[in-house]
Amino acid sequence: MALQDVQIVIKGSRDGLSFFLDPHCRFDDLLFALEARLMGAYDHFLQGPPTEVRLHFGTRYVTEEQVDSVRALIEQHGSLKVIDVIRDVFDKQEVEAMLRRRSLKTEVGIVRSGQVVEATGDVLLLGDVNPGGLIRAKGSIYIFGQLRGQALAGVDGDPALIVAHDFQPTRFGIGRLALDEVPQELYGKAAFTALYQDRLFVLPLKSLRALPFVLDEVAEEHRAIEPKGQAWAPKLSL
Amino acid sequence: MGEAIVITSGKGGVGKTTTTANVGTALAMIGKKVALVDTDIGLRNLDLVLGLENRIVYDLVDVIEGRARLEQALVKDKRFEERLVLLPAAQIKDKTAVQPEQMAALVHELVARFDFVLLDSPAGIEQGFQNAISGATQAIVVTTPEVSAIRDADRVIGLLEKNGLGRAKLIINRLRLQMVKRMEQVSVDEIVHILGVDLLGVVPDDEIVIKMTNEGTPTVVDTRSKAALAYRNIARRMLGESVPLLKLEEKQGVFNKVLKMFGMS
Repeated sequence: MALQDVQIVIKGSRDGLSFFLDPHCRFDDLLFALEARLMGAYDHFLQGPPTEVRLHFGTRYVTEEQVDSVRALIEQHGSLKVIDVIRDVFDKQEVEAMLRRRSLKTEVGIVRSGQVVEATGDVLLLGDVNPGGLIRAKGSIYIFGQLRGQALAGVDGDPALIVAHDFQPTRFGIGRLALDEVPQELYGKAAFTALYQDRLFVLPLKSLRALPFVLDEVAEEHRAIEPKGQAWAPKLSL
Repeated sequence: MGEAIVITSGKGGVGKTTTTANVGTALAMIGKKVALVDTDIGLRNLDLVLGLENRIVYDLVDVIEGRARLEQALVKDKRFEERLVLLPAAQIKDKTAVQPEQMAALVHELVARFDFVLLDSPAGIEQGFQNAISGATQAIVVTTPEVSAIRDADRVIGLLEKNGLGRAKLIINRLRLQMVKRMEQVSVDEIVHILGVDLLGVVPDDEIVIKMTNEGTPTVVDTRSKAALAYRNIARRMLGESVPLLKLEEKQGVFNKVLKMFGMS
C-alpha cells in the first residue's frame, strides 16, 4: 500500500488534537505514515507547553505495545502528550475483565473470623465483618454494618472506596497502601476511605456526596501537616 | 425422635464438658431422657465430671468397631433413674479412629431413643470437631468473656454455618459481673452483638462449679448456687420455655431478705 493511501486525519480543537488513524492499513504502514506526517508540516508543535493528544484507532484492534509505540512516536516528535486512547475494538478477555470489574457481589450476613470474601468487582455487604474476617475486592467495598475485620479494595490498582456504616477495621487498604489504624475521631463512626495522590484518606460518610472535590480540598489543606504513613481524618466543615 | 445437639467452642478450656454435664443433668432432672456423648477421643473426661469413671466397660470406639453393642456401652447414671446415660470416649485411641459417617450413624441410633443427645466436642476445628458435628442437628457454642474465646467462637460459628448448622445458640460461661462493671471483661451485649447468634444463657463464674466438678457431681444439683440456676434456666429454654436472664448483680444481704419477707423492698 502506498504511503499516501494511509489515512491520518488530525483535527484540532480547544481541548487539543485528535489523531484519527487509518484502521484499514497495515500497522507498520501506519507508523511509517504517522512518522512522515509528524516530520513534515507541524514545526510549531515542537515548542511550548505540551499539547494534549487523543488517539482514535477506530475499528483497528491494537495491543498495549502497539499503543505504546504510537504514543512514543508522537511524543518524541514535538511537544505533544497523549492523554487518551479511544478504540472501538477490544479483545474478548479484556471485555470480560472489564465486565467483571463492573460487577457487584452482594453478600448477606456476617463475615466471621477466618472467612474471606473475594470479588472481581465491587462488594456490597449487608452485615458485619468480624475481627479476623477479610474482604478483598478489585473494586470498591460497601458495608451496611460494622467493619471490624480487614477490608482491601482496588487490589489491582483500580480506583476504589471502602465505605462502612461503622468503621473500625483492624486493617484497611486500597491498592498498594494499607493502614492498621483508624483516626480516633472517626473510629466506629460512619466513614469511608479513599486513595488520593498516593495517600489514604479517612473521611466521615457525609462527605461522600462531595467527592471528588472534597479530596482536592483536604489534600490541599493538609499537605503540609500530614505525617507520613499514618491515616488521618481532616476536619471538614461540610 | 429427639434432638442431637453438639456443644462446641473452638478454644479449649472454656467449659464445654462442664456445660454438657450440667445442661444434660438439668434436662434429666426435668424428666427428659438424655444421652451424653463424649467425642473427645483420646482425652476423655466427661465421665470424670459426671462421676461415672469407675463404671465404664465399653466405649464409643468399641461400639463403632463392633466389639460392643450400643446398649452395652451406655453408662447409666443411677441418680436420675437411668434417664441420663453417658457414651464415653475411648482413651487409648485417637481422633482418627472414628469417621464422621460412623459418628452420624451412631448419633442417629441414639436420637431414636432419647429426647436429647448432647455431643461434647473436643477443642479445635480438626477431625475431632468434624466428627462431633457430623451427627448433630443443632449446635450450642460456649464462650467466655475473653477476646480469644470470642474470636474462636466466631470462627466456629462460621464453620457450623458452612456445615448446615446455622442458627447456633450461645452460652456465655464464667461471666464475672464485677469485672464487666469495671470494663475489664467484655459485656454480654457486646458478645451477642459480635457473634450475631441467639443467647441461650449466661453462667456466672462460681468457685463451686470447680469444686463440684472435681467431686464428680454436676453443679446443677446444688440448689443454692447461681451457676446451678443458670444451667437449669438453660435447660428450660431448650425446652421452649421463655425464662428471663438471671439478674446477676443482685447481691442480697440478710437485711434485704428480711425486708423482702415483709414486702418492704
